Amino acid sequence: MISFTLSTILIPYAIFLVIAAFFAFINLRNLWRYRAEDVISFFACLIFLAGLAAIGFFSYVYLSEIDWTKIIDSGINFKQQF
Amino acid sequence: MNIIHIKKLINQKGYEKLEKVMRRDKIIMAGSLGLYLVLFSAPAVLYFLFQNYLPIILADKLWYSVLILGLSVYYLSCWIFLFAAFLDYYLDTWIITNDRLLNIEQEGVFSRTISELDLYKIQDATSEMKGVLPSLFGYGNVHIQTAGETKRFELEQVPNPHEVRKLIMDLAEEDRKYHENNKN
Repeated sequence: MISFTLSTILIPYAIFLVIAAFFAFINLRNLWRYRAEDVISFFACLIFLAGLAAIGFFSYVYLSEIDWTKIIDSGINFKQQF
Repeated sequence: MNIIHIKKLINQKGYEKLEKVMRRDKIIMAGSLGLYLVLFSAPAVLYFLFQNYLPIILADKLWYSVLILGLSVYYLSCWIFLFAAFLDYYLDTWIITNDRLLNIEQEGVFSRTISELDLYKIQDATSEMKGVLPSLFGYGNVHIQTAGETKRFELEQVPNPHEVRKLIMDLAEEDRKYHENNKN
């Protein structure tokens, strides 16, 4: 039986966030570099950042409700429940 | 529609003027948006299924946490991919001047190709609208063949391809006359 704190599963999530931030940055840089002289690029950038903020906010709200210090016994609960 | 970096792309000649700047038809982007709308609403269906058929997953601390993290990853990925799809559409541009044709192609996040073609070298051009959606929305491809080159220059999914082909051929004819007159 392996026990681990629930916060362990935040590690791969954090790695994903770093990769996502990198891709978001590269996309924004591409838009800034090669944009046209119109309002579309400005609004696209604004909407993209607003979307990121909204996803970040809702993720934070839902994730903060979870007690990440809880100890999880792997396998046992799963087998019993299914 | 002006390209902010046109001066970086080409050294505009004295007589050269911008004739047309094109992107893929708007319906292509609308199609991508539709697809992402479906992807964005998919977790709602999943939630309904979990609540009715696997309520134990929502009740279990570990699985609930994994689900919330998964949703966060899913929505973030979808949002970034949607933005990348928009950039793919928005940064793919064809610029037609009275001297040349520029093909600027954004392929994914890390690849950008810019190629240009002198209009007087164009031998023939073919425009096509194949399929239900292209015929319905009036977009299609224009293939341009130049002398001595096997590779064709392609304008993909552009609105009004037949008009674009006519414009290119007219400009090519004018450019050919200009070059012939300047030779003599």
